Amino acid sequence: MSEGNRGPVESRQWPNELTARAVSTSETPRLFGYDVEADLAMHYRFSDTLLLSLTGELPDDTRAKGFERALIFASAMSVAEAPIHAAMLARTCGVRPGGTLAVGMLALGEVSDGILSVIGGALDDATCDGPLPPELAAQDDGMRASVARLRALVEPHLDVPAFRRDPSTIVALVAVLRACGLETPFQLSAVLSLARLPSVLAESAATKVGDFKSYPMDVPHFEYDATLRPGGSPK
Amino acid sequence: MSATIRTGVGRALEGDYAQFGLSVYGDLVERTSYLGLIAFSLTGRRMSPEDEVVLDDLAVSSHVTEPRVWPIKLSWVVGSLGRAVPGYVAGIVALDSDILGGRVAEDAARLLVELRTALDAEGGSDDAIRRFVTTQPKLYGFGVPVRAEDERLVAFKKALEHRKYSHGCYWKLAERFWRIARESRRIEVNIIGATAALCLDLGFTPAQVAPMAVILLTPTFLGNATEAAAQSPEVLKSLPMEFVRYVGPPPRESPRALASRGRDR
Repeated sequence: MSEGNRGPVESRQWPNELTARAVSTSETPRLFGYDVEADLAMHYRFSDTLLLSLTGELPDDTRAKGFERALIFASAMSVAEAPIHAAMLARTCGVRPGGTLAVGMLALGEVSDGILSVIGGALDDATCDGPLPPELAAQDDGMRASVARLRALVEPHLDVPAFRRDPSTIVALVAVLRACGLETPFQLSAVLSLARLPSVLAESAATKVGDFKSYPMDVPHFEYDATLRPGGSPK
Repeated sequence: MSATIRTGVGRALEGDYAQFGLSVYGDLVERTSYLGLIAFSLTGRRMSPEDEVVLDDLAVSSHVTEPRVWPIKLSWVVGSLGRAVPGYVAGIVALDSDILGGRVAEDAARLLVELRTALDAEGGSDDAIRRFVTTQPKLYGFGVPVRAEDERLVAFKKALEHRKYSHGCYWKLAERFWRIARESRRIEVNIIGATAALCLDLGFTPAQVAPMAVILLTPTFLGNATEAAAQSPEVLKSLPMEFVRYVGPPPRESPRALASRGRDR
């Protein structure tokens, strides 16, 4: 076999530079043009920097406050939920912080993508005040009370028309994020996932590495069925 | 909501493991290849020795060694930080993409199943395939960037010929589909399209084709990530800035910084 110097990579023209579109570090570190050390760190919160990272622009005061409150509002996720459970299992198995976070974020991303897929285009028309499809509406009074708390937190700062459509908590949260200027599935999924990251950190940091005996191995119960084939139906 | 999960994939026995009704040590050890075991784990079906060999041929034909190919480069970039497994895992994540790897293989398999259903309804002529090809917004398993044909598929077809492998109905249908797609849309099938056709003939569902396609592509990520970790090249850990071009906004002052300066005056 010939192993000449020119393969398909060498025989074509490729860029010879990696393109940075957000962060410059030539003199002082800058994010979308703003001096990180002397300006952003002095005048802005982390949540403002997060919104800047995703949109390329700093939020005005109303968006900044609404976004900050929405992030905190969304931060609690139970260990019963797969992303937190998965991160905790990873930590139990002795996975390092980076891997534990990667596992948690991977699962959070799956959850967020699923939420956005169910919502679809239901929030696209901000002027619409008709009822939401049943699967996107509040399911009970407890959820309505939760949405009311979110509304009370952000409405002084943001106008979120979807609040008037009796949304579920997660739909209301997505509507708030959209009112903060996040529109694309990438932006929304990233923020929904990042908002829950404190729960991943809290539960996995509190988990003892190698403590396998404390983990409820058969919860939920697994039952082996020798006739079952992938896809669920017995052969 | 049931509190019990039913599983056929397996359970621990005393001194053995069960999988889909078989004993790992009694029925599988010495009787199945590594890829045969993966196919069994995915489908619950034992592959014949002939099918296991063809899966091996497909894996070797799919083996892209070039470290600069995008997902493999990803393994290098993360592996360069010093450990092989994070590099490997990072590369594998890229195979769960909307545009390459496992999910595309699944989409390609679904397309073939749809094509077969459409042909069953329309009599199975080339004209029916042509109609299917022209009405599909996107054909998955096609596309051969920067070269005329997919050398991996060329090699795999040659291996199948040497083995005188008897093709199943999906492969035979796929060959007609690939030819008509080439004629009418000027697109060339790639190894992912072939993986979908072969796996369907081996009894995989489209959803099972995705993980199989990922496994077939795995060896290069292991090799590249391990070499990257061993070398841990400084130039990849942090590219010299001469290779970086900034095209974002120019330096600017934030509204709050401007207001603060105004107040200070």
